[in-house]
Amino acid sequence: MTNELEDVMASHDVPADPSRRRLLAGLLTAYTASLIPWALAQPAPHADRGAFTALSAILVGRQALDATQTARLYDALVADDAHFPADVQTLLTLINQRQIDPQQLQNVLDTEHSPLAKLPRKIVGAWYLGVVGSDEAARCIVYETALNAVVVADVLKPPTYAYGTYASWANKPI
Amino acid sequence: MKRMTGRPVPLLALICVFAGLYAGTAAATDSANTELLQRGQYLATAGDCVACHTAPGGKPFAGGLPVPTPIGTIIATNITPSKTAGIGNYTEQQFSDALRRGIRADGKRLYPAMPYTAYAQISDDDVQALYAWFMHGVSPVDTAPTPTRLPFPFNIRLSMAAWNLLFLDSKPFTPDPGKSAEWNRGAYLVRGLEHCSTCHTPRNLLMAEQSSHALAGGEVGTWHAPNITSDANSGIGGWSASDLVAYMKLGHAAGRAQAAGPMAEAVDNSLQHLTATDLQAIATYLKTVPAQHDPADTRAVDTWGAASNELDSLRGVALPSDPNKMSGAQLYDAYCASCHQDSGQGSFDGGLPSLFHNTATGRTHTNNLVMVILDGIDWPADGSGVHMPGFAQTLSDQQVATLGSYLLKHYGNPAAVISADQVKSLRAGGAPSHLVLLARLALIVVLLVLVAIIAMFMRRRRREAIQAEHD
Repeated sequence: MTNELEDVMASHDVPADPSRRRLLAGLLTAYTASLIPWALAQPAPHADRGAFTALSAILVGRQALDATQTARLYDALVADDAHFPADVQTLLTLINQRQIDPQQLQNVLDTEHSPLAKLPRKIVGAWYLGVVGSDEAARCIVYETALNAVVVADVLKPPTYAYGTYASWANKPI
Repeated sequence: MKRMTGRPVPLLALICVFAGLYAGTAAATDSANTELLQRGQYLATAGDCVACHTAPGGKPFAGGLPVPTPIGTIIATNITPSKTAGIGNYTEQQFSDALRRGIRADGKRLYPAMPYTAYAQISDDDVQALYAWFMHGVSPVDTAPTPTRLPFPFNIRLSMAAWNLLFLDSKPFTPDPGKSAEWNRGAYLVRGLEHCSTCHTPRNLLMAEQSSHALAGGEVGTWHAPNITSDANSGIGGWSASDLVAYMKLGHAAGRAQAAGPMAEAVDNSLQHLTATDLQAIATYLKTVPAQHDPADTRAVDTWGAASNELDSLRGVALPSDPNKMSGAQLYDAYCASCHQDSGQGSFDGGLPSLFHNTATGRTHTNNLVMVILDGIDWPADGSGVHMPGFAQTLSDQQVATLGSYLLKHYGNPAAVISADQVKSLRAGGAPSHLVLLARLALIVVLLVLVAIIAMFMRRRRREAIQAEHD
């Protein structure tokens, strides 16, 4: 946990001018801040990226996110969809204002036929599978540190990584 | 009838008694023989005779393995007890002379590719046991391998007599009374049967071991036999005795090193079969071998590097169309990461080693790193087979160089370098030796000097004769 927080602190896009330094807290309301209290002190030099960090954290339910990975996923998502930053801002504002329970968010958007309904799936997919884009345009942006690997890393290794000695993968399972 | 019946009884009893006695002595002799043969077999295993005297896939000890040396290829001979093709006609004395003095039964000299300079240390008792086993425990094979043919002047075997005068200490091992029995046993094995110095001691221009640099590291074909002296940085000074025993028994010591190349062969054929007591003795002795320090080793060779990766540089990025332009991280990801894991940390159970804190990446001498990438690690003898696959058929010279440099930068000694030319040369079997040319040049020089001396001598004689006429 401490390490992960340090990773977040060591964000690669800390502003050159400290007077322009903003905190993620500025993008959150009391309600969303209560969902991700760790994020309050995080630098948010760029409002769009900051909103993505906050929304990602709310959606994937993690108390810390690696800054480099956040930036790489964000860049890939923006490269695919120029509206992505604005959509993120809109959805974050929606959650801020309506105090939507993250567990109910997808339901709410689906029921209301919101144009933002695709957004949570896209963001959670990027974080959990590490894949951005689809079909021909799909890119694996992260693999070993995609959350589907991280949440089980105490027991499992990502597919193709060996557990034991050379050729132990040919042993019959117990 | 009474007499008739009376006599056979004691006779029968006598026969029974003698038969019993005979059977008793025979059993005692048998068990003594069995014990001698078993000891001989153990000693032959310790000496790793099989490594050179068996061709891949060939019959044990039937010879035929070409051993590349700087003076040409030497073909190992048949040392089965075949009377036509092997050493079946050798007396124990002849066997001992071949083993400890480098002299064949026909009086010709052996080349010191046969480590008789080390075997010279073997005790008479052990020679006897070895002789018994080679004569009675090994199956004769009646096929003789092609004889060794070295280029001139090395084809003159008698030259080895002069070499032996210079470099052969033919006295068997004498224990040092000031040291423990364990140390002496270790010294006896290391200097004698295990012939560690054959590979691990550097050689001079005449291919003799430099005793002043004992076990400081030597060259074995394309491999480098590392420093195994007690130096803390260059050698095994930082290893515990149990690290050393584990290495010899299992072929690896966690967080330090693993055996590859000729050393994997030595563990596979020989060291892993030694008793725990003997391995412990070897470790005890090695820990006392005088330190030989290489100034290039600014810290212990098994303490470099840390877990790290460049995953961010390669995920989501297409591979270059030219495979030779792949980055070190891309090559590592494609060929190494599956086993050594994304950050070089090795597998959960330690069965696949970490690449940091590993002598494979911690030395400035990088040939072994290239060789293990090219050849992998194979243990054919004990049946465990491939421990690491080789990539000689998969990776180009440039790819091995790029990958090797990535490994050194992340996990090893960052001052070490690997070049594509180095990989190319090692793949081809190493840089050619100039010893044959050197020897021939030396002979020409000697010849010219002789001619000059004779000419001077003759001129002086003539001048003296003319002077005498004038007088």
